Parts: sequence; C-alpha cells; structure tokens
Amino acid sequence: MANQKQAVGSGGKSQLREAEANRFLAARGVNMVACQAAPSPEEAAKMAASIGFPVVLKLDSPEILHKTEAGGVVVGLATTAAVRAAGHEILKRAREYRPNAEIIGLLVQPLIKGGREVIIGGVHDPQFGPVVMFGLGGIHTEVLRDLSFRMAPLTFEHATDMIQEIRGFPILCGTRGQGARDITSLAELLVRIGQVMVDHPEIGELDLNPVAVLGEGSGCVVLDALIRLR
Amino acid sequence: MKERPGKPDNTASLDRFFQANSCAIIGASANPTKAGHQILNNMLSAGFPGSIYPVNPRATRIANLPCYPSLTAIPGQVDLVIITTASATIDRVAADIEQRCREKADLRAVIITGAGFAETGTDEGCERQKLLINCCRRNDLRAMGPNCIGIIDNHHHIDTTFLLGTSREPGGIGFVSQSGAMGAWLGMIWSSQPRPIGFGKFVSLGNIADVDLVEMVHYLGTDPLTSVIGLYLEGDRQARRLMETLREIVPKKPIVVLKVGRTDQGRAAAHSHTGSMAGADRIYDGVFRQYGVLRANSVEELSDTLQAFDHLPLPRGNHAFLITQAGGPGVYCADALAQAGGIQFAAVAQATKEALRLASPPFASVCQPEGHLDISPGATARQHAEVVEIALRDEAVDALLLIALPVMFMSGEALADELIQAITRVRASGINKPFLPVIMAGEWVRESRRRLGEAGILTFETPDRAARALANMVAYQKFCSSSVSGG
Repeated sequence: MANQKQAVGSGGKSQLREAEANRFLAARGVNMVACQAAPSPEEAAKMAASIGFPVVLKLDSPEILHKTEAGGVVVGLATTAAVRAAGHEILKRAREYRPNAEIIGLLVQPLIKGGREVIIGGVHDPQFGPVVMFGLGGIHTEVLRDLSFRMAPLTFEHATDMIQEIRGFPILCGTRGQGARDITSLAELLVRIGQVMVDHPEIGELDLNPVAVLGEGSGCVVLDALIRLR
Repeated sequence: MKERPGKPDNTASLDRFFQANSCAIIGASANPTKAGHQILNNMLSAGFPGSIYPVNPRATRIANLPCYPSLTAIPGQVDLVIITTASATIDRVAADIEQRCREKADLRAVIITGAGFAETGTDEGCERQKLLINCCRRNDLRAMGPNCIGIIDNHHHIDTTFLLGTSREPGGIGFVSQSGAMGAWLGMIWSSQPRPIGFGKFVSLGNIADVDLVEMVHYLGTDPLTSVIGLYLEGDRQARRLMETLREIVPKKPIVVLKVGRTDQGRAAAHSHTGSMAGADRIYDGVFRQYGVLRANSVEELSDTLQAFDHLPLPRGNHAFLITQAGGPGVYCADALAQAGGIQFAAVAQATKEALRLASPPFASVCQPEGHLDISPGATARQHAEVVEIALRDEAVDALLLIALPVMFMSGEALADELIQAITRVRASGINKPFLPVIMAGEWVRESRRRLGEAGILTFETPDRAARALANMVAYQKFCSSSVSGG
C-alpha cells in the first residue's frame, strides 16, 4: 500500500497534472494517448515532426489544470511552423491567465481522429467507497446529466450494462453515418478504471475527459486525465 | 468494517427477537392512551404463545394478567424486554436489567420503543441512550431501537408495535424500515385489501444503537420463512456494506427498495467533474441496478411488487399476453407495459388465435396487435375464463394480465367464480405462470376481488400497477438468469 501511495502522490501534492496522470494510468494498462513533454515551442515543433502531423499541443502546468479555460489546448496543428506559433501563443495566454503560475512547458500529442468522445470518472465516495461514472460528455453530461454509476470493482458485464443504461447509448451504436463504436474496449476500460480506484484508495477523484471511443475493433484512447488525491 | 466491542456479530442472535418465548413489557398500562397499553394489546391479539409479563408499579392486574412492580419481581423466565416508558425512567430500567442479569441471567434481547434518546440531538438524550446500550452490551443482550416501533412476526405470533390494523396472516414478505410509519402504512394497505395480504416479518430499527440495517437485512436473507425482502431506505452511512449484503442475497431472493431522500453529502466538497455529478442518490440508483436490487418509485409499487413476488411464480421469460374487456384501460395497460421496460408482447400460435376467436364474442379483436386480446364489453364471465385458460396454455405466454370492468350484465362475483375454476384447471395441468387480474374498480368489485383472494389469486388495483409489478418480476428473472448476477 505504501508503494502504491507513493506511486500516486509524490511529494504531498493534492492533484496530478496531465503528464503525471498520463504516466500513472499508462503504467496500469490504460491506453493513454502518447504524450511528450517539450520545454519550449521549438522543442515541441521537433517532437511533432517525429510523432507525425497533425498534433495536439497543450499547456503543462501544475497550477493550471483546467487547460481549456486558460486557452491552453490547440488541436489539429499540421506543420512545424504552426506548432511553434501555437506553442508561443499558449504560453502567452497562460501567463495572462495566471501571471505567477509555474509553467513546465508544453505537451505534444498525436491527434486522434474518428473517435466518439465520452467521459469516464472515478470517485471515492464517503459512503460507497470507490465508484465509477460513465457518460457521453459535453451537454449529455453537463446539461442532461445522462450518466451512470457503479460501485467498483466492476465485472465486464456490469460495465457493459453501465454503458447501455445511459439514454444516449444509441449514439455509440452508430448513427448519422458514424459506424458502431468499440463498446467492448470501452467496457474493458471501465473495468480497469474501477480496479485503479480499488487499488488506490488515496485517489479521491479521477477524470478521463475525453476518452475517444474508436470504431469496432479499434479500441479506446484516453485523451486527457486528471487525478485528485484525497 | 470493525465491529463495535461487545456486539455479538452473529445473525442468529436476532432470533432472540423473533423467537422469544416470554416477554416483559415495561410500562404496560390499562390506559388506552399509553403505548404500553397498545403494545400489550397487540402482543395479545397476535396470539403470542409464551408468557407475557406486564410491568408497572402502579397496577396489580392489566388485561387479566398479573402485573409486576419491576423487571426483577417477575418470578418466571423472561427472554425479551420491551421498554415502552419514556427515556427519563432509563436509570431505573437499566439498574433493573443489571440486577436481573446478575440474579437470573435469563434476558436475551431488548426492544426500546420509547423516545427521548439520541434522536433528540440533546446531550441528555445521547447520554441516556449510551447508558442503556452499554448496559445491554455488558450483559450480552441484543437491543433494537431506541425510538423504534419494534417488530411484527406473523409466523411466530409476536407484535411489539402499537400499530393499528395489522394483518395477522403469515406470508413470505419481510420488511425492514428506517421509518416505523412507512411500515404502518404498508401494513394498513395490506390489511385493507378485499382479501387481507399477509406478511412474515416487519422491523423498524429506530436509532440503530445496536441492531443495524445491514444485520437485519442479512438476517432476512437467511430466514427460510422470508421469500422476498422489502426495504424502506432513507440512506445509510455504510452504503457500501449494505450494497454488498444486498448483492449476496439477490440471487437467493428478490429485494425491493423504496429509497427516498437525496443527499448532497460529498457534492459540496467535490471539485472535479466526476465529484460534482455524483450525488449519492445517483450512485444508489446505479448500484441497485448493478446488483439486481429492484427500486420502487412509490409505496404502491413497493406494495404490489412485494405481493407479486410472494404470491406469483417467477415468469420464465418476458413475454406477456394482455386480455382486456375494456378498450381504453387495455390501451392504458399496453402503454404502461411498454413504459415499464423489459416486457414484450407474446405472439401466440395460430391455433391459439383460432381458439381465442371461437371463445370470444363476435366483435372481439384477436391479437391485433400481437399479444393483445380485446374481448369487448359483451363478453360473459364464462368467456373471460375461457380465453384466460387458452392464453395461459400457450407456450409463448410467460405471464398474463387480465383487465375487466364489470358491467350491468356481467357481475364481478360471477367473473371471480369462473376465473377461479379456470385457474384451478390450468394449475391442475401443471401450468404455473403469473396471472395478474385487474378487476375495476373500488367498492364495486370488492367482493369479486375478495373471492379471488380467498382462492389464492392475487388481484391488482389498476392496470399500470399490475404492469409495473410484472415488469419488476421480469427484471429480477432476467437479472438472475444473466451473467450480471454472477459478477
């Protein structure tokens, strides 16, 4: 248990930034989007060239966790010049958003196309202990509250039923020219997140938002992750 | 979960309440305005088979029983003590319990119905509760309450409540309630049926100073006389332990929960997306579904579903057939079945359709759509019974709903008599499927429903209530036969 604790909460922090959460979850078998840390826009441009375009560029700061609000995410950059320019812009906006925030640099990730985005959450509830949440994200989550909850650990059947419970489930089965999504892989991911929540009671809340669910047989990729410690 | 010290952690110790051989009622009274009077009355009317010892220093005889000045003055064996007096008397009562345990060592369990304890939130109330419970723990007594209405067990003829109108008919329903009044409400609903509905056990836990919800639910799970468990739940701080207990029981017997109260605990403290979305009620909802616990949305649905599980066989599948003699109510029921979810309409064999047509009046609408027979208001009682029998004998039918609204030329009583004969024939040929008749409505069909009830045929109040009870049975059957239950 002491080792696991150390694995999550290095140095008495209350939350892990994306790069840390990405490493932590990838080490536990969660299919995280490839994520490279670049100290500068120039380095980021070089990394993007080696990863292959288009890429996503994100701010890496332990003090700005809601990156989108700070203008810290730019999607679909197709050239080294574009990456460099976006990198400078992200850093500038971050300094404006919170002048004294510690900024580590930038994260470069490949752009994952063709996925239907969903949200997976974990919470250590005071009454229920580890709990897993699932929803379609966006307005489905925020406005319609179309979500399902299960107590962890989950079986594969529990996870499948949890996916089918939401009203928006038909969207994952294929609509409007989009094929069916990889629901098997999504259910496996829910099971795995449940296990992470059980194995790590020190995690208070965990957000995988968004998760890209690809076409049948192509799996799921977690595009962003945030972990808060209890 | 760590057990509190001094608390015997064995479910069997709860037998001490339900299977007591003798009982002392502290505060028994000849005054009908006192709880101690009504509790004594209920113990007597339940037909408690053991000795009952009223305790009251101001009386020598109550209800033709010798009355004792104190617990310690009772000469015979005492298993169970019911404390009906106010919390202000608790020093004296606890001292008497101590003395009796020293001298006779016969006491096993205590039910504290009196109020004025921890539920008041005052230091005094909490102190009194602690004093009493510590006294029980020291002497290895199990305690229920305080501030509860105690238990009813119609198999063991015990009723420690002051409730009105409780049915004494034994049955398979076991009901645990975080509110005594919810239990009272259900009990009144059941005893007001044209043919009163029986139940096995009722428990109100009050302040839960010793016997807790999880323990009691576990006890009902292992109780061979309990076939279905009902639960009125406002919330439990040990939700995880409760859910794990329910999960173990569900494959053995159905559990129906009426869960109220939406707590925001944890929400305010949560910062992330997930945390703010997870109200405890949403989690309850998901976990009930995860473990196959049925959630009722109303007292009516709770009552109907518990009755249905106790009286009807489980459907083998989810295909229902609907027979109606009344057009609108039939459509209303079809809507309710569709809305309840999980139920499909049965497509019966061609030969069955022919037989239904022959048995129905000329203007009947047969299986248009599938699974729906409208026999029209012209149908006689005999015709009702014939089509019921034909439909039940079809392999594709897992459950049958009948809606009838007796008219001037078909009496409800005649309908009941014909249905009883038809169902008897069907059962005699080895077919046992859920049959849910809805005979409408109110006082006009009381005798009809009473006759059916006497013959062991459960009836329902309205089409939608029958539909929801059936949908819950189908959901349970599906859960038990699916791999989800294995997880």
